[in-house]
Amino acid sequence: MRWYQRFFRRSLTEKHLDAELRFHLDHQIADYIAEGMKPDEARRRARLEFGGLDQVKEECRDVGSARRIEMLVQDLRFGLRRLAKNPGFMTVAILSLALGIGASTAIFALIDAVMLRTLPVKHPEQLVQLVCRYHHRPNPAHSGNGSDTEEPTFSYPLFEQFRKHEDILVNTFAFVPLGFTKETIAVIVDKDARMADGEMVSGGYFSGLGVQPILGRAITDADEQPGAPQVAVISYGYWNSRFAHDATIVGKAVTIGGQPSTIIGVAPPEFFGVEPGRSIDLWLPLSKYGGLRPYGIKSSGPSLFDNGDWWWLDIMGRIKPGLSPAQAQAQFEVEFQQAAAATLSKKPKPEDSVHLVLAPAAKGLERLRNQFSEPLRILGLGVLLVLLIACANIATLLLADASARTKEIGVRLSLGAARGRLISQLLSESLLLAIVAGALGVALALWGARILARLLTSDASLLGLVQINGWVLAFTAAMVLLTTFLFGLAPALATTRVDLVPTLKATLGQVFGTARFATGKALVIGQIALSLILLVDAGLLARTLYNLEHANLGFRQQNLLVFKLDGTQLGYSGPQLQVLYDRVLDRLRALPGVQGASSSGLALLTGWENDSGFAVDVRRERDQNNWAMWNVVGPKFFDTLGIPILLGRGTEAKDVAGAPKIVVVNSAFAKKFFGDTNPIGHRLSRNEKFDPGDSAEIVGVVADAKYDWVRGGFPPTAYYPAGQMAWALGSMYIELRTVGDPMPLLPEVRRVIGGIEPELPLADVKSESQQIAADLLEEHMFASLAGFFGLAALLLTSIGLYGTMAYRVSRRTHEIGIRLALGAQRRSVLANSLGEALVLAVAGIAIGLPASIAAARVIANSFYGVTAKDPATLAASIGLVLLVALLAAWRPAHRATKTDPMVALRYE
Amino acid sequence: MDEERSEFLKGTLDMLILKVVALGPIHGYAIAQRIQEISRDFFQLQQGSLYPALHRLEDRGWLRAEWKATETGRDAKFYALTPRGRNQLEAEVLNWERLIDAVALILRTAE
Repeated sequence: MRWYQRFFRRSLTEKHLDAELRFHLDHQIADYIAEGMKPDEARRRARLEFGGLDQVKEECRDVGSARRIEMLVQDLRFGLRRLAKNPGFMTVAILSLALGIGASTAIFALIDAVMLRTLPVKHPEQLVQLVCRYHHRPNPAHSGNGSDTEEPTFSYPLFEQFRKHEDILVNTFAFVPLGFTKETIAVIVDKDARMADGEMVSGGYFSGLGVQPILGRAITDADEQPGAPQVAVISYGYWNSRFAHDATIVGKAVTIGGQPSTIIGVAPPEFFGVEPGRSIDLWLPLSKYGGLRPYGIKSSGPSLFDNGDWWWLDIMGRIKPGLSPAQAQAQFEVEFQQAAAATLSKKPKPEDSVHLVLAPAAKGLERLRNQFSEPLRILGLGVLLVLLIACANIATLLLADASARTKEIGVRLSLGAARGRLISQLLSESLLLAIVAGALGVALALWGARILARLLTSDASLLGLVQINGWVLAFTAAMVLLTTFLFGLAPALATTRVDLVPTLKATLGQVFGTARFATGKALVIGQIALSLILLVDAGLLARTLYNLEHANLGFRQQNLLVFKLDGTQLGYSGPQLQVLYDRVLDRLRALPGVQGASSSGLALLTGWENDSGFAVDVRRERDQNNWAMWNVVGPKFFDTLGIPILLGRGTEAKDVAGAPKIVVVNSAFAKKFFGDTNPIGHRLSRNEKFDPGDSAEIVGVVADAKYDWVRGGFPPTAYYPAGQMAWALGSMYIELRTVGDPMPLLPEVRRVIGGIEPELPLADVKSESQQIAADLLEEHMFASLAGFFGLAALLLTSIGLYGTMAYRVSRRTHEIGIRLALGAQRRSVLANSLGEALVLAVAGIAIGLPASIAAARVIANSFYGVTAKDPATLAASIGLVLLVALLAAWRPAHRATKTDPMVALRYE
Repeated sequence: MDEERSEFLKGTLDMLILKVVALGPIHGYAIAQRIQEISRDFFQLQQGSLYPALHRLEDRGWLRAEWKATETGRDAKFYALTPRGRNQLEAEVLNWERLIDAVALILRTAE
């Protein structure tokens, strides 16, 4: 030991122990001298009576918790030296474990961001959200026990009642988005119009949440009053992206949704609203007197606010201090029932009861949790499997490594080392590995969680929530400890279970080879089974993605540009809108490179749909379901999209307000409502009962096309001409059929539209291929991650198999040598070794196959066009596992055939 | 120290130490001296074996230790009884007395 090591190792305790014993001896010696002994004699006698000084010290050191830590440090130091001697093993073990820990930490970071973290507001644990629980009595016509549904929305008159009474809930506030998508409202700053995500909030929103703007002031009750100027509080992010941290922003005049407005404040950087994953750009007062309406509703005037039958507001509050949640809920229920009865225009059906629930809202709205809980659950399971494989892999390697230590362990045991002490030493080596892997894993996780967040949603707001905080680090630490025991305990127990005498006599590997080889085999079989599960799932998810990407959509998705225009943001309405959109379409059709242009109320495959009950002029069986989808489309819609017209005609420019009302249906619609008869000439109305006065004539039947999403089937759909649907007209999607890739045309398109209406922003701009990719984002993520996990698992397993087989061959050198000497063919030796590996692989597959099918069933909801028992996927996965097993076993088997009989026989 | 007394000592050393320390803060050397003096050298203590016992009692929280100057001015580690140590001492003394009584009873009645 070098002097500096000695210096650092000498702890204070050690010094104290020294001093204490020295004091005793010195005192004794002094006493003996005082009794008249000679100094030498006194010293000798004192030492004799004291006993072995070093032994006493050792016994004192063994007492106490400080000693246990010291032993751990010693073990770790020893472990580090050992690992450093074996860099290949260390690298493989650390990398595979880092992958497992990193991936699980990344998933946990997302779970933390989406599901665990509370809102960055004052006392989030006090927040409750008002939720209506509707109980639907069982319908005698259907089987089942009835059902409960929950809706978090209320009418404005109810909210007014609630916020007046502060005896149960205090700080009650309400909020509602301005639209359904992220681009809800046009904000014009210095003549530059762009879409933003806005929310209307009541005057108590900021004070109720306890959020203080960093600049300017918050929205207050005064901003809801008649005659109050239109104002807005903007988010920190929006202040950054749109206004470049302009310090003089307060008082800035902008136009929001066509209303001249003033920016009055900037929210703090951590505040994103109450819905994690959605970052609001601006908050506007929930004022019934202002010109803005939620959800892009066109109606002006106070009707929406005064109507007690329209439930559209989200409400939150805090339970008054001193009340328990149960008390508050019971008392509020009474108030709610009275208020609901007073504000509803007709009594609810007696069989549908409604109850009020005060749901804890510390984490904000649940939409993000609902959206991501399933994907995260599936990913979590996949990651767990990879982690298990990594642990099994390291255990296998440790076992093989232990064979090299047989003698060391045997010698130490025979010299009197306690088995517990040896086990703890082996475990601390494992801990060391896991700690290094954990540290590497955290770095991987930071990177991985960002990739995951990007794969999960195209929306950047989830990305902003992901962080490696204390909770995530605590999770990593827990994983480090857990994996240490998972991969370290079994090898440590196996290694120290040694019969001493033969060990000391025997050479390497002869003693407990069989028992340890059995453990190793079991681990490899387990790894193969787990890998197969991951590979099968990866295969099925990849096939799902392929099937979806190559699904017949019913229209041509290539070379199609889609974007949204919303003239209502500029104050256009009714027929003016029609004129605006027609002018845009006319100009766009004239652009070089554009083959056709049309419009629709809803774009295809965006997840949005209109549905309704329909009635036709022919008698139908009474209890037949009469639901179908509908869409509003411009002239030439079917030609532009490439949807074949089967009978009659499509929508045309002549289908305007004064002309006879027409509708075009698809074949699924025709089949559903008319069976095999020709629907042309029949009339159709969107009511419960057929209403001739409100009906339209079917003039065409078109081929089926998908509507809301790629996964969906071909729903029965009715297409109404935009020119005859003035009441439904608001924003429109424009579809442009281009000659080549549509995106290069975009600047030209913007220029043309800017020439017609400079302040009209393009929203949701995408090529149809991009739209489909966005729709398949989750499938894409699942397929790529599952593939990555599957391949990682296979790689780890092949390392484990290689290690086991290499160890097996090295152990059998002697035996193989004898067999070769007795005339065995090298080919048969090779076949024998490969056969052994093959047996392992087949055993793993036999266990893994039913497990794979069971695991695939768990995620069967994610599949499209394949089943959990898809033979091709199963066969390919099994083939891949067998191939990799043979490849991993090849080198050790080949080495076995190279055994020189003479060397092997002299080996011992 | 012969075999018999050694065995006898093992179980009782803790109790003896606690009893001696209960009289007031005292360093290891003095404890050894006291035990020998009071027992009139019945316990020929292997003096070194006192220290692991002291450290064990300290680790269990029955004794607390403090470095203080002795009358000669040199620093020594003084041990004192903690409240928990006092409870332990009482319990051990009680057990001991019961044991003595029981053994005495058997010896008397078996005669």
